[in-house]
Amino acid sequence: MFSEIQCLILLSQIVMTRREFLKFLGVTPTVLATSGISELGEKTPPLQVPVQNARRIPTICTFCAVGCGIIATVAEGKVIDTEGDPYNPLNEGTLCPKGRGSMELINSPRRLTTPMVRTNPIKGFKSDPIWRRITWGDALNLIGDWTKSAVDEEITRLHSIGVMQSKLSKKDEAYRFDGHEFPVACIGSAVYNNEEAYLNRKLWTILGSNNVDHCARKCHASTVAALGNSFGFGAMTNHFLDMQYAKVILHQGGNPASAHPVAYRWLRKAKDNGAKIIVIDPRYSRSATQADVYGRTRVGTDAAVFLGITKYAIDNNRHDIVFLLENTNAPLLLNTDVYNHTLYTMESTADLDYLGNSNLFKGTKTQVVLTSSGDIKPWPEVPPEDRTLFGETRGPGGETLKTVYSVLTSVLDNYTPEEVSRISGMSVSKFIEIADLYTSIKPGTVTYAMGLTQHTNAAQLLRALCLMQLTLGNMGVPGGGVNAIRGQNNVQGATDMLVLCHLLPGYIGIPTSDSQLRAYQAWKNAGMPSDLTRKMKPRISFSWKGVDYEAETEYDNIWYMNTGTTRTHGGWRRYEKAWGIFMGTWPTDDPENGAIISDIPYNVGHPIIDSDRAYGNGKFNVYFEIGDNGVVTDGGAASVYKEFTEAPGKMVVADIWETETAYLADLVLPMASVYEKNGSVSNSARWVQYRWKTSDPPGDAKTDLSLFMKLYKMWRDRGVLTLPSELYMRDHPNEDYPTDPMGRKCLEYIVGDEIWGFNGLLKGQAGRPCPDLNWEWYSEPDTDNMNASDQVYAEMDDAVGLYDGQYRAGHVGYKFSVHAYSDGKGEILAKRRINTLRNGIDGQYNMTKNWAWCWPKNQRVLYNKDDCGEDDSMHPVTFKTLDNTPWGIATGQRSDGFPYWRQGSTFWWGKERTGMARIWAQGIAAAGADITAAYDAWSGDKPTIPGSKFRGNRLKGPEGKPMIGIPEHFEPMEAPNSELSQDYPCYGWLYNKRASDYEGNDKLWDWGLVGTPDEGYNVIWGSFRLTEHFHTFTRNMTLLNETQPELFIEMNPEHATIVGVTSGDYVRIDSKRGWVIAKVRTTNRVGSLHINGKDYWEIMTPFHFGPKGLAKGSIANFISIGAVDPHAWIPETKACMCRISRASMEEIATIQANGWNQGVY
Amino acid sequence: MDGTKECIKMSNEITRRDFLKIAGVPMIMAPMVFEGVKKGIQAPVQELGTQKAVLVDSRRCIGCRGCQIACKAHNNLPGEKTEISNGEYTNPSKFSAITWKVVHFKEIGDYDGNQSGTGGLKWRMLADNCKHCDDPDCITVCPTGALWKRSDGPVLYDVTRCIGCSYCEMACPQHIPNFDETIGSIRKCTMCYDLIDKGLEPACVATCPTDALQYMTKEEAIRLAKEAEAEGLYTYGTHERGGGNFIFISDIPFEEFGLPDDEQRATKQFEADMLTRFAGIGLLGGALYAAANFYVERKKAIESVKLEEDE
Repeated sequence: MFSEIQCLILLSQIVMTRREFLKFLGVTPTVLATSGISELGEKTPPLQVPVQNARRIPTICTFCAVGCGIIATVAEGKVIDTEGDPYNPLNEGTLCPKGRGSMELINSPRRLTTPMVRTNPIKGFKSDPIWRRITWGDALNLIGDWTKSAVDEEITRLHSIGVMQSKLSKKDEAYRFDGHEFPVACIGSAVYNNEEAYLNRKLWTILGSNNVDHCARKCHASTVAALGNSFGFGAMTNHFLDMQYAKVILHQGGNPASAHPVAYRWLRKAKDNGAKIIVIDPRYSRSATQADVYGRTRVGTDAAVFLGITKYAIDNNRHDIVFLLENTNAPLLLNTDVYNHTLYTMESTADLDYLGNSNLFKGTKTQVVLTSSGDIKPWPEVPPEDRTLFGETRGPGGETLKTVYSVLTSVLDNYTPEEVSRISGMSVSKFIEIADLYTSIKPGTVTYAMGLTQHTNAAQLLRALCLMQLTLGNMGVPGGGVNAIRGQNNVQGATDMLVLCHLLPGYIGIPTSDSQLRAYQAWKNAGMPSDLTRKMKPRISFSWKGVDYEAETEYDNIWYMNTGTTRTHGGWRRYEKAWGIFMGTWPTDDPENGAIISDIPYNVGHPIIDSDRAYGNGKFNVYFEIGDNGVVTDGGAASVYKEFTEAPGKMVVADIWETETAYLADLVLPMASVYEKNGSVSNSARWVQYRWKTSDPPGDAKTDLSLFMKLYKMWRDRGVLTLPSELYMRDHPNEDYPTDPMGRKCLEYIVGDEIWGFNGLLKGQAGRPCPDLNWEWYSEPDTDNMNASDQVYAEMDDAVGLYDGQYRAGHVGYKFSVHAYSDGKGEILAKRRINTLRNGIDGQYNMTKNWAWCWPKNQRVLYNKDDCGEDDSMHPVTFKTLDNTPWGIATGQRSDGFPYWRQGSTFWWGKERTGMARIWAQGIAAAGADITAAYDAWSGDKPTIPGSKFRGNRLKGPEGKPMIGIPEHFEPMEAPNSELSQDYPCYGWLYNKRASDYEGNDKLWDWGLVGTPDEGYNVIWGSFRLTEHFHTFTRNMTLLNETQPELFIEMNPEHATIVGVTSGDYVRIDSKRGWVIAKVRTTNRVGSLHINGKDYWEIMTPFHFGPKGLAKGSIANFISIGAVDPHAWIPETKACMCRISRASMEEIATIQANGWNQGVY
Repeated sequence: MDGTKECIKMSNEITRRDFLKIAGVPMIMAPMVFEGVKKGIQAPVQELGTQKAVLVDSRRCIGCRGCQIACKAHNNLPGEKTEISNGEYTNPSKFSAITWKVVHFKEIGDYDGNQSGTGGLKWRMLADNCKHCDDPDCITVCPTGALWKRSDGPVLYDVTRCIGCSYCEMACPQHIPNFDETIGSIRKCTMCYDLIDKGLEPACVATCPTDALQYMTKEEAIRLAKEAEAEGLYTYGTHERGGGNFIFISDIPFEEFGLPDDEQRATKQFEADMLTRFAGIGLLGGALYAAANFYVERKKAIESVKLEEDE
């Protein structure tokens, strides 16, 4: 079938200019220019030299998460130019400097081309690794040797437990790995395609390890925690094209003009349409150049600002009461007598003994609401007009019940403009100006990025943002929403595939106890017949531990009920089918007493900072860093450097450059850049676009897809990868297992049905699940990258519920399986390149539903009654009004008809709590419960800043305690003002303190590394990013280096005078953890802040630089702190305290002589 | 063949900008001018409606420098080795033979948190390059007629005629034409004549995410500039220094970006000025003369060699 890509190729011509001809021959520009001289003498120099097979291939940019289309011009297998893709509706042919200069990344002579092994055992930036070039075969053998002994130990451990316990009774047998303890860890990457991210998680899961994480942990982990707990999904709610419909835009903690320039195309369109732009930022950023109002704040105080604006909206009657009543849990009742408040329910709150706080089939309980007549009634049964937001009543046991809204307002009471100003340093008049502007116009959208997420209180402050948007009724409308703009081009996809330690692909829970497995087996026996029909029985009822359960399990709902076992069970079932693994009990018909077998490892693994520590402490024998430059980008990089250089284990780095981390590795693998592989990629707005391969990777470089397939084969051949279910059958050879027609024994039959042609089985055929089958059927990615990645794509469609629908099977007999794809009839929706709009809302709101695909179900704006039917392309999109009548153009005014959350929608939280966004987030409250307990014990007794004399005794919560379900402001780990630290003690500290106590040697954080103002650390430091560089991997691109050649620090001229420096001088910045040398740029864009009556200077540095590559500089994160947020484990790389002084001549000389190595090494 | 049909359908529906871009796939991107246009003959300037112009709106610019990179990428210019020398982001700090486009960054005022709006602080960017003047000083002073203005706007140059005297560089108030030793000629922005000849936009315009750079007829550009002027904004290029084919709009004065004003115009007085200047610094003048002479001689030598070869 013809696709648009072929159109482009048809259109292209095989005529190349002389310039390009020379260019693809690899002639450097200088040589080209020189050669030009001799041409000048020719009488008629040919302007064009024909080149065979020049093609223009569409691909997706490798940099930020806007997902711009790039057209690569390829001649003789070489990319000679990269321009904007005029078809792609996201960028319409435009590109930022990084994307436009992409060909330099592809063609750089500094790319890695062969695997290399370290011969110098001493690691460090000053110590040359003395690489020895080896073949891929040798490299894989090395990895095999390193992993084999470690994993064998792990298997022996599991094995001995199994065998020994089997002497007791079946019930006590348990075959499962502890994913937290597994000795092979992997830090993956967001430059994976979706297929690679999925394979990475799949491979590590069946290997037995949950120690897999990637850079989403250090960028938007807190977004997922906060937005997920507020709305349902932890993703950007609207999309880039939708931003043009906003009427007021708030950039806070984000700088899209710098970090996502093409997103600014749409923001600028909004401004053309009359929108007001507000920027709240510690520094006057490039986005502020477009702002109508700019307010300067201190890093890490955003929660106070959001809560202040929310209070301002309520005080001035600009909140949307109808919205709160109908769509949020604001009218629900809270039991305020217990400290850790719980949402009040009509029935017993006795929890089941598994899955923590999320009860199985919570539908049996009903949350209650106070009616305006004073009665307590079930929430869904009371029409909105009878609900009240205010009030207090008594429960049957005499307990005090307050509406969530009442609790919210009591928290907000504290955040007056004066208090916000005291905390944030923004003047009262400026705050009121901003609050007034933002709350007076609707719809308003907020865009943010790392400025909000990288804090110890990030999940809380993002919840404050969600509350602000909910209170104003800005959710679920075009031009509104919470737009979390993500950083890397596929960080959304890698997050959805959960290259993260705490969940499985599609946000499915990890098992943590045997009772979960028993319940799961009971669920399978009751509701999940072995024929594995795609549709489960509409209702499942079964008994478990004497309780009868009945639940709605209508298929689609399984995926979108955000909490609860139903989703988890459905997810596990998908993996069982798609991966050929087994979870449950043996015998399967006795869930109460059977042996536990789980091929999915138990327990949450190590998140990134934790993981670095664990590697440093020798917990991991092999540590993979695939496309991650941890020693530059991790919070508290000074400690990470120490860990990476001193760890006893082996580090394997796979990258396109010899990065700083690669320099510290034992084995370096050369990888393909994203332009050199086929695959799908999810942008920040969840669009799954297809990226075509432009050229072959240089030398021996391989794709990540190829790497994972090679690793699988090697591990399988060497017996490293052995499933617990296989071990069980090996240990118990005499039991009566079913045997499939092919003679293989299995624990459970899988029967192919008319929709799922599982593992190649034909309709009605039965067989055992076997993980090998998939891997054997994948095409060889080195020779057939397109087919290999598309096979995985089709598999993902079924294995990952969230991505269900991205593939349309061409053959009824096979929904999934390699055969299904190979029949050539399936359609990969991500490949759609039709930029025409459909009729109706799609056309009115530029949703471009014919372009690529988007999860969930091609729904472009989350939490909106945008059509989300199974077969989306067949139906025009419809918005409906509250009374379900079709409705025209949304102006953002309710009276005109306002898109709303659909009753019974697949979004939100399941049927019993339909359409309810969370003002009070029970999930956060539950997760924070033990933190709260620690807080109680600590309050008034322990110092608020570790090592200081300040006691935390005056928290400004309504009851003198922190609200966890309703966010509050908390000071950063290192805070400038001791009085504020007493009033708003650090939230992250408690977790980090507890974690280090709990983990013992596996210590998360060294408390000696926190600096206090007493010690002279009184300058506020923050980091930011530049347009011209991307993370740490553009420093080998000369065109970009030209524009930003080295690390610098922005400081106010007045401050510079005090320090005694001026532009172009070098300063030394010290934190308690490390120091860096940077060049000064004096500017009024940063300055002083008046906080709690005192003035503080702030300075800012970009974080891109390091001692390797062409553009060098100190590693800015040597200043930052590795303390993490308790909910999301994201490190606080955006706020800490430092001191600054003029660099001495010796320091500068040393630094320069060492190629920018810092003295701390 | 559904695909082909779709193609046609799509091209009808996409915008002109896109269409042009795709239709112009055969990429004619010579780095400099050879033949093809008559050398040294200044064609009569066409009506404004048929002249091409680029409108640069500083208010829309977010300073991403996509244009700066696009210029280098399209014209195959290597990166320069630079360093940070002052507070601003402008880098490279000046034009050179391999830097034809520079984005100026300019900060004005100091932030006062009690003031409304942006607190009295402004940060503006301007994408700057050869203005393709209507009456360019570089052409006036060129002794060999290597530079000329094409009828639709671009000021072009013939590398074979350039003798490297660098008069044009000195005549240009921003020193935009620069001598490139490796090719023995001056080089500067060509307004991507290779692209505009194909009906495409110049590379810098095509890549601009916020449409701060827009390609249009000069008539349209001047109209928009006049409108902006009426709103109290600053404009540049409609009549400053005789006007040109790059027209700028800004909400801060153009002196802030270092753009020359009328007084810096030297067209008619140039030779006299040069003489005065060289009288003061005879040594430099001598050196320049020697350099110019050297290149003339060298060129002659090359030509004679070629002639011999031909014979």
